[in-house]
Amino acid sequence: MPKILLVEDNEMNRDMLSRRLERKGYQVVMALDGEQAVAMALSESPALILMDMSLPVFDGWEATRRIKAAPATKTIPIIALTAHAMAGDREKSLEAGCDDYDTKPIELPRLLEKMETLLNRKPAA
Amino acid sequence: MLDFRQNSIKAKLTRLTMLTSGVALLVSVTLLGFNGARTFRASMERDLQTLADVVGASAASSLEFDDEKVATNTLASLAQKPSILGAAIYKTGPSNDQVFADYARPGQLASTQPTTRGPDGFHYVNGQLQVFRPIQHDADRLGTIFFQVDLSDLHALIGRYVTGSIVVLAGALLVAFIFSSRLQRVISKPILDLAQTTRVVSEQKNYSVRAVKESNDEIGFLIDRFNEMLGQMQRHEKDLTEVNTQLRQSQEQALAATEAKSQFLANMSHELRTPLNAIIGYSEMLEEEATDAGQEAIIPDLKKINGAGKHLLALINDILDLSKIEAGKMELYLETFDLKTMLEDVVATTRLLVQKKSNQLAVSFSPDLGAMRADLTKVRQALFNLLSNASKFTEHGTITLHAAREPGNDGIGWIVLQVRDTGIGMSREQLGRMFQAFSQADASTVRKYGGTGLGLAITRHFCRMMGGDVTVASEAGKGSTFTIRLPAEVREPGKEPDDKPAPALDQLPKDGNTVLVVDDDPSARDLLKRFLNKEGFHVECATNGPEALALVKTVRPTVITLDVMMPGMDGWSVLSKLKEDPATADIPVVVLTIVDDKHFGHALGATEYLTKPVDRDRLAAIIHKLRPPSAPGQVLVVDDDADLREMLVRTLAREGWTAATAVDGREGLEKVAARKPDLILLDLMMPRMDGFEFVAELRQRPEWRAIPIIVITAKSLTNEDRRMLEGHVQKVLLKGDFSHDKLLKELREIVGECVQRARAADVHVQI
Repeated sequence: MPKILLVEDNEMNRDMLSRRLERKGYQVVMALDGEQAVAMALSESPALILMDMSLPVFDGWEATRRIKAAPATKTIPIIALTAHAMAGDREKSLEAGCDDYDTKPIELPRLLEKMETLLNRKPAA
Repeated sequence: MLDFRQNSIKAKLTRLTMLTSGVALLVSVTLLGFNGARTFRASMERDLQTLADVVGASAASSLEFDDEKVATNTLASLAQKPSILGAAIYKTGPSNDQVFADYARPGQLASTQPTTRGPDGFHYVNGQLQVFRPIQHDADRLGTIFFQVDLSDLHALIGRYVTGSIVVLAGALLVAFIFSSRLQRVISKPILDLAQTTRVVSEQKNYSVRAVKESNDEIGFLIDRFNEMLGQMQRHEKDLTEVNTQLRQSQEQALAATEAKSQFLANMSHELRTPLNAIIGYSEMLEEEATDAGQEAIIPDLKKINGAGKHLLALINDILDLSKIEAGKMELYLETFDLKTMLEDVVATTRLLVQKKSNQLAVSFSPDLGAMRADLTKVRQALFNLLSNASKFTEHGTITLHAAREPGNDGIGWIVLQVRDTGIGMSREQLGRMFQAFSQADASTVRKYGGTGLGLAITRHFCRMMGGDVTVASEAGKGSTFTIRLPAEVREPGKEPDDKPAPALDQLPKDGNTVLVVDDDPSARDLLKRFLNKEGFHVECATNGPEALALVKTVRPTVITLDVMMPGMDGWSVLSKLKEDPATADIPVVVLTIVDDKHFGHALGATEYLTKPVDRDRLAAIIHKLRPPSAPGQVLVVDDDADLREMLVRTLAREGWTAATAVDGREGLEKVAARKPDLILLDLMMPRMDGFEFVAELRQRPEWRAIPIIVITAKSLTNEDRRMLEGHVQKVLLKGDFSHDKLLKELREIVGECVQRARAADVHVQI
């Protein structure tokens, strides 16, 4: 099953989302901050990254930029997750290189749909 | 001399003094002169009378004895008196008096006496004096003696007197002038000093100076009062300055408080949403697990937790929205979108809500809806509020959503969205406070129907922000009709309606900038064209495959957007044909379709693949990316920070741009005049001329108005600052907000875009 890298600093959200994804059959690995996310994107080669945007060390936008800048990891699709349901956040995320964007609280069916779209697109890209 | 009004007080005083003394002297000299002349004449007449009596007495006997010779001799003695020009003695006869003897002064032509005597006395005739005097003896009148007297002595005397008077008058006036010009200072100097003081006060706004008092007269009084007034003004000014300072401080505090409040709300929203996220997520997860484990009994409770969580989230969102509106922090993000797509989206979201109380949803859209330019999120939220309200207050009824476009006199028109329900409706009183925050029809409504009562208040704010409004008509028990009216093209707040949001199609440069839009749906074509125009592209349209293949040869587009589902020749066939022909094979094609078949698209040679409805931002990003890179341009960096200047210049040079620098606004203007740059990077806080002044100066000149400006500043901008810059600068980057890399990246993007646009604008001007 596809390996998902979940980057989230809030423990409850991490636990909840990882368990729900695992129940749906994904393999989930987790990073707690931006720095770890960049490292794990390289070491774990996940099929997709779910990225929270407000993160310690450096934030999700910065992590996304670094992942998309590295040749080894730039093809990994990234979905930005943020609690700031603010207009402009979406643009900011896409600008940073995210492939898609979703707001928290997560609506699992909607997120799964977005994940599937990106996972299916990947081989052709 | 008498026209005093224009003269200084000094001149006035001098002239007054001289005029007064001159008139007094003139009067006295004249009176004295007349008096002198009269006295002189009286004494002369007395002398002549005496002489006449003496001569008459000597001649009396000669008259008695009729001895002419003696009489003539007697008269001859008058030669001693040079002023007597002639003389005669008349002898009194029975009928008339006859000249008896006469005398003419040697040198006189002849006797001057009249042939008959005149009356006794003195007669002034032709500037000479004639004297007639009786000669008597014992009361008998024997005859008359006559003198002709020369008056030149008298005239000479008068002449000397007048000359003397003039000299005296002139001398006196001179003395008066000297004295008055010295003495007038006593009066004029304090007045002039006072005038000088007032000038200092009014020109320098210096209320601490005081006029010097030199006397205790009225001027002294005036100076005292003036000084008192100055003192009062000084106090008032000081008070005013203090009050202003306090006001400014209060204002800053208020702004800081508002800022803190907004920050607090933003933080709170995040803090509240995070645990809510967990509540909603875990309850959903448990629900799934319960379903899997067959524990159906607990599912309703889990659904309640989930529902309560979602409800709480909606309330938090409402309160956050309203706080933002009240803090004036709510902003519009205008975009052009397809109205029908948005409406269908909202309808899909609300369908469950509508069905919850066994209601029907009827939808009717007029066919000409087309595109709308507004804040998509806010329009959607406003409509959603109305629909969810209608569903909340209606049971077993029908909710109707009607959408139409109304023509307006500006040629753009209005979008009207109407939500009608058959619910409980409202009374007149309830309607009155309908749109006020925190007010539902009555308190019991909240308990029965839930909600914050903020939805309608927010809806109204949103509509009004976009230049429209929401209205309601209702009857208790019969239902309500809410109507949203919005401009079809919402304007950026504060911008004049004559601002052109997008350049006209024909004015855009075509070279290396043309997008060929291939789509059979006219509204989709229209939408794409408008959007791409706004992004600065020239757009050509084709409605079907063959037309597209023909057009591509003539317009040589930079990018083609291709719809797949077209009647006749479909998109895939067009794509294959394009890629087969070497002349068109290298033109990037972006496939836009509802058919999700990327592999096929890429296999056929599509460069990019987007599913409909098209994500505009992504499309824009893709097309901008596919467009050939712009040629390097000329950038002017205006910043007083030498390090930053150097860093920027080096970065720009690496990207292939040439950069000129200036240390402040004034030098900036000189550099712009020397060579017009394609773009200006501008600091705000600089010596001599700051960034605000620089922008204002630059925008004065029409030929410089189009130069894009990016502000890079460490100053946190006040609203006033923003208003001054609004519409004049492309973007404001905050130095502190950016990491070095991020700043460079932003710059790189904006600079590239701006230079390209500036080039495009130049081309347009040259055409």
